[in-house]
Amino acid sequence: MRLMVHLVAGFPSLEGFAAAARALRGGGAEILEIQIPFSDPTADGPAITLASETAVRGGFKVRDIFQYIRAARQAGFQRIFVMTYANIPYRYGIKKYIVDLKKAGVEGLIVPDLPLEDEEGFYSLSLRHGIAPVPVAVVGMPPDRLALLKPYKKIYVSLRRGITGAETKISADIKKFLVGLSENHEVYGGFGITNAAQVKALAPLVHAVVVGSYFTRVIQQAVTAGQPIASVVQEAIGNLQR
Amino acid sequence: MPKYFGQYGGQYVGEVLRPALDELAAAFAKYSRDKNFLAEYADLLANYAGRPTPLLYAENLTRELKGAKTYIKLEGLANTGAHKINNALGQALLVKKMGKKYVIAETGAGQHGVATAAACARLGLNCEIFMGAVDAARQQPNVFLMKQYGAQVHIVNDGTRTLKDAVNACLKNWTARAADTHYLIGSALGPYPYPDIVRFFQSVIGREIKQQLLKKEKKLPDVLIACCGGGSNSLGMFAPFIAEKKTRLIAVEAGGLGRKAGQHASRICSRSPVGIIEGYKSRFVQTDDGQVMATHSISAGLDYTGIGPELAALAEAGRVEFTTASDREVLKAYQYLARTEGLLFALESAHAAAAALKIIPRLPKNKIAVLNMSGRGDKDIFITAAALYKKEWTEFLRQETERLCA
Repeated sequence: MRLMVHLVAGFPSLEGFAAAARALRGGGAEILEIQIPFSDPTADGPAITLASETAVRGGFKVRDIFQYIRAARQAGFQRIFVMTYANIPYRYGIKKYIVDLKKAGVEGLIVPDLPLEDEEGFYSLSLRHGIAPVPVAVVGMPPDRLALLKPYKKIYVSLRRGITGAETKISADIKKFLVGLSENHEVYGGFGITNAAQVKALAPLVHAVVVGSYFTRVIQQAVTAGQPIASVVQEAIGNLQR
Repeated sequence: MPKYFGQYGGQYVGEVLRPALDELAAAFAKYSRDKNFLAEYADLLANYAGRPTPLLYAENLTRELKGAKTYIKLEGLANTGAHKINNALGQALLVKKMGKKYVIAETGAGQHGVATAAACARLGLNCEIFMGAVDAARQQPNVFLMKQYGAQVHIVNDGTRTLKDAVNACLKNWTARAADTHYLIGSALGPYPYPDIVRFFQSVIGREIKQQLLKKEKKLPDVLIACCGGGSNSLGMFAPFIAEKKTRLIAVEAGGLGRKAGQHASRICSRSPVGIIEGYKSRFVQTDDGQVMATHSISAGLDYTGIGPELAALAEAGRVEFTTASDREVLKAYQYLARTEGLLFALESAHAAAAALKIIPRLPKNKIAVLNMSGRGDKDIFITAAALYKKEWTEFLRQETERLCA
């Protein structure tokens, strides 16, 4: 069973992020998805929206992402993906974004609002520079849209039509979709994973189970309650694997 | 139909929203050419919205300013008090044809929310409105009205708690329920095909001006002036004149309190950079890093961080001129129009009036200017009265509170 866990850069702080990353790696997570906070995250639920706001208000700058990638590496993560919204790479410069993150050792890039028609050249430039562009697929995509996924090895699947963070049930439809897609792709499946039963059900169908807003929520609760992030996150990832 | 306007526009959305946008684009392409649909829409505009709205010769203003002969398009006389009803009715009718039963919409000033709630009530659709907490607090009368029309109002507490956050909340909500729900966008922005749809339904403003002026003056206007937030009233007014190269088109952005970051909502005049936000590429008030910045305007309807992509392209091409009006100039213009012409401008529309007061005296008397009063100002009484008669208004509110709590 392989877990792809998610943290927001800049939240709650570099130290807090590093502590969470260590706990996640220690708890057996193999892949870390780091989200660059954006002021208008249209595909995120309340937890990640609030964490992003907090990070931006706290002075997070896009160039700070490299510190967070280093912290993740020091925590033991060798597989790191970076996710954010189109305006961040667009303002940074799409090509520079790709080149700099490749240089930082990032495995893949996720930008959910850059469509598969290779808008802004994001997908082709990523391929050319040897970093995986990771499209976000949804269950029930029509065949003509599915065909556009072909050139990409790694695919992120949103298991619920909706925002991140609400509960997900794994239906027969979803199973069929994931199995089909896995024939030719490395599939990262998630959105709304909050318990061990979901992880267990999903794990055989995907390359990695994506656990998104769960940890951000846990960290928010820890911050509010004044509890140490490390132990709270450690317990939370333990709960997913019981 | 162009997906892009120059470099602006596009459809920057996740895969999850594609089916709904494709369905909408197909329905719009079909019904915007369908005779029965257009007849039904025309009937709603005539008998429900109260169109055509008058084109008033502003005789007193013209005499006092000693410049161009000025007309005022009274969009504020349309049912629900602003031009927003034109688009709300058009899209709501489209929703019925598409067989969807639910409508969600965001609103800033509340005018689009009120128009959408009313149009949905009229056409028998379920309506939910998303409104930023800051906007809801300063536009409580409109919140009340939306509820009277049977709409459910969701207060949005994310981010800056204004229009952009209501747009985000709406997009998220739509993602989860697009199969039976239409997102009724009120401004000429958002992902394709929204900019086209909103222009289509709002261009009735410009078409009427053309006809009315040809009748009254036997010529086309020399200058058109409209306020510009997202751009629905300005684009609706300008669209039928874009090909008339002799007509100057002037859009007025919210100058707010000043030029500093966070004090205004001007995208073009402030030279704000290009960005990709909320599904489209345009000019946005943002940091160098690409984070959307807080904006300010005395009018809740003009403080949006982005501008419609077609207007951004028209600005770049030099076809539409942009200027700003400050909060202070807007209040002055609001009072001036009330006293001079007996017209109570909405604070949004008063931006156009404020610019007109500067532009019209500089134009020769043989020129004709048209100013769009996109909405009327009743809804703003809690802002205007507080700004202009602070002592009396505070005392009134105190007494009312006492009476209600007694």
